[in-house]
Amino acid sequence: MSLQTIEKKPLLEIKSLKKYYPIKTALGRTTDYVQAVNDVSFQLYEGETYGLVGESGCGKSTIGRTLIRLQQPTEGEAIFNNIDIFKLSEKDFVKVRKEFQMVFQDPFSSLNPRQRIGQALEEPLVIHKIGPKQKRTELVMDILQKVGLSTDHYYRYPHEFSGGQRQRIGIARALILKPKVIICDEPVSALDVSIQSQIINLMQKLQKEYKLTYLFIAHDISVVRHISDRIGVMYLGKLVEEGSTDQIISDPLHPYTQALLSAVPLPNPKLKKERIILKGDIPSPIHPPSGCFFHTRCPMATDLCKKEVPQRKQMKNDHFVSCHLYT
Amino acid sequence: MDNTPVLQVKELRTHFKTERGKVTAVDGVSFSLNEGEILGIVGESGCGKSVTSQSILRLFDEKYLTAYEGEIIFRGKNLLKASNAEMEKLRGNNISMIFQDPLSSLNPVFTIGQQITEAILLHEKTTKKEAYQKAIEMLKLTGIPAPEKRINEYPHELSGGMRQRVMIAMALACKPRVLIADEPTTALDVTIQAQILELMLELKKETGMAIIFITHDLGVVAEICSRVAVMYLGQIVEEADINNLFESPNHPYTMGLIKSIPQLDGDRKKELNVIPGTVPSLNNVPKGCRFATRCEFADSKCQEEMPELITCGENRKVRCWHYETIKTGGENFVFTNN
Repeated sequence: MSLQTIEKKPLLEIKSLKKYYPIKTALGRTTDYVQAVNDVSFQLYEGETYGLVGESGCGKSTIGRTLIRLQQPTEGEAIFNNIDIFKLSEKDFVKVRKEFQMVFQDPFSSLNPRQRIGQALEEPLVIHKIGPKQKRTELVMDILQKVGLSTDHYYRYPHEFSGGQRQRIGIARALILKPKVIICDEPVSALDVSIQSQIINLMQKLQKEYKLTYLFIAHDISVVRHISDRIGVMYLGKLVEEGSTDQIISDPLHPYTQALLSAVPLPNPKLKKERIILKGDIPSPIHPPSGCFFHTRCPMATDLCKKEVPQRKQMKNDHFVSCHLYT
Repeated sequence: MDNTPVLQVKELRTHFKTERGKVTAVDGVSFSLNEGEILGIVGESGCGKSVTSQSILRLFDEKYLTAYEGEIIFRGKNLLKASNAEMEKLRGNNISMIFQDPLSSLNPVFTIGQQITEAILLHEKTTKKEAYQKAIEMLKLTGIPAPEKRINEYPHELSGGMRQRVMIAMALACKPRVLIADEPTTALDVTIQAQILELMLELKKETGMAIIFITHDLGVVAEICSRVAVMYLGQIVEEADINNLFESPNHPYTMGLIKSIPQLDGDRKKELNVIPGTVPSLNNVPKGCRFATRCEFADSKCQEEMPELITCGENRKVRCWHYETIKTGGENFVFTNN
């Protein structure tokens, strides 16, 4: 997959994306900023799954939300079909919006409890003025079956579904407009193991069928590894390492990636591996550390790391890392 | 490891009154916790693992909601027959508990120091000053930096990992014999989870307490438990030593669970193994084997009769009619009633 995609033009190119949230006093004066996403660039290629991993507060969800303009980015570009979608007016963006859909972690809170599932699934079609009523109903019935539900679920309410079924509805709603890109924000984190594997399989099946491109945001590295072609690792608003899944998992370069991987508990009691246990907590994104953001917890930090921000450096084909160890 | 049980649960049944009638969330659970071991209880949501653990300390409202049956033996005494005063003495003193979400188990309007000293003063005859000193010691033990300063902070000033350390400090302040940890690392990030698991192992070594570790994460279980009980729909379906369970699971449910997790060294993009369907509702429990509705090996006997939890080897138990045939037959097992 990755070898073919290198030559191709990216479907979506994100350049120097920044998202700062202002901190305001009671009188509305801005005193400071939360630097949620700090200068992140990456590309999405058609048909691939790009996994974005990192711990809570690293800005991975914020990236997803700015891409479909649920939040306005502070700076940066996102090039799709030669246009910067961040610069589009609300009205023009609605047309592009059809190509970008999102699946959320908790589908229950994103469904209206008093609306039948059929109506909920039809709504996007109404908004984008697709078909007469009958055609829409047909499309909904069709998509229900595609995601493993049955047509008589059309008339049910959200509370009648289990967690796994609700996530299927969430996927159906993202899929109904036949988008190019689906941004999946922790789509399986709230599910039990046996249900989780059902949903992962479903997502892989649909990807093949509809040639979807996934931006897969999750904190569970085993899941991300399973589904992704390429992985980006985030720490405190920065992309610290990026590469093909095999490169990241078998040859992690950044000390944070190494620690993150070694911390994953493996379901095999015989494997007692050497753990890198990081000291301390993630610093606040309001006043991130100087130099390399990771230096406060890095077991290999030097004086240089405290002073200078490491630049993104290409190692082997398509493997990027931002760390002074490799300069 | 010692093989004398410090805590024994026998045929525990916990019933709840609901609008739709009586629901039995835990149905005939028996296990024993040995001195100094970590017993894992795993299962998916709704399997009754948390209800089991909270029943041990009798944390549910017994006046209106809950009825218990069975026996819970601690130090030769049946806790289900103990008076409220006796239970109060026991909770946090001999048997402690930590929960998944430390923020909702800490009181937001008291400093963490006040909350830890309260636990100490309640159970031990000491002065306030001594209790305060002990609280600082406990915080130091759990690896909180600058405990003299932190002790005067409020829960909201601490990070998630720190709060969980405070909960552990509070739970261990009175040197309990048994610690019940209900999903203690589920709300934490992996790097912080690794810290907390390491801390728990260290403290176990130091104090020699026994731990009941409740979780849904098989990876965490493999990391720290020595023995595991797998629960499904209110019952234990399999119990085994940690290595046996992962190497040769006996119950189809355990097999399915282990096979359905994506592994860091497994085949990528391959279709994951799936346990079909969903867990039935507790209002509508299957008549025979509770797993029969989702089991690929189930036949008419499984639909009709409930299997007992039987011993099947050293330290091993399983609740399945066909575990022997399933194991020896392996993949080629042929079913008549499919």
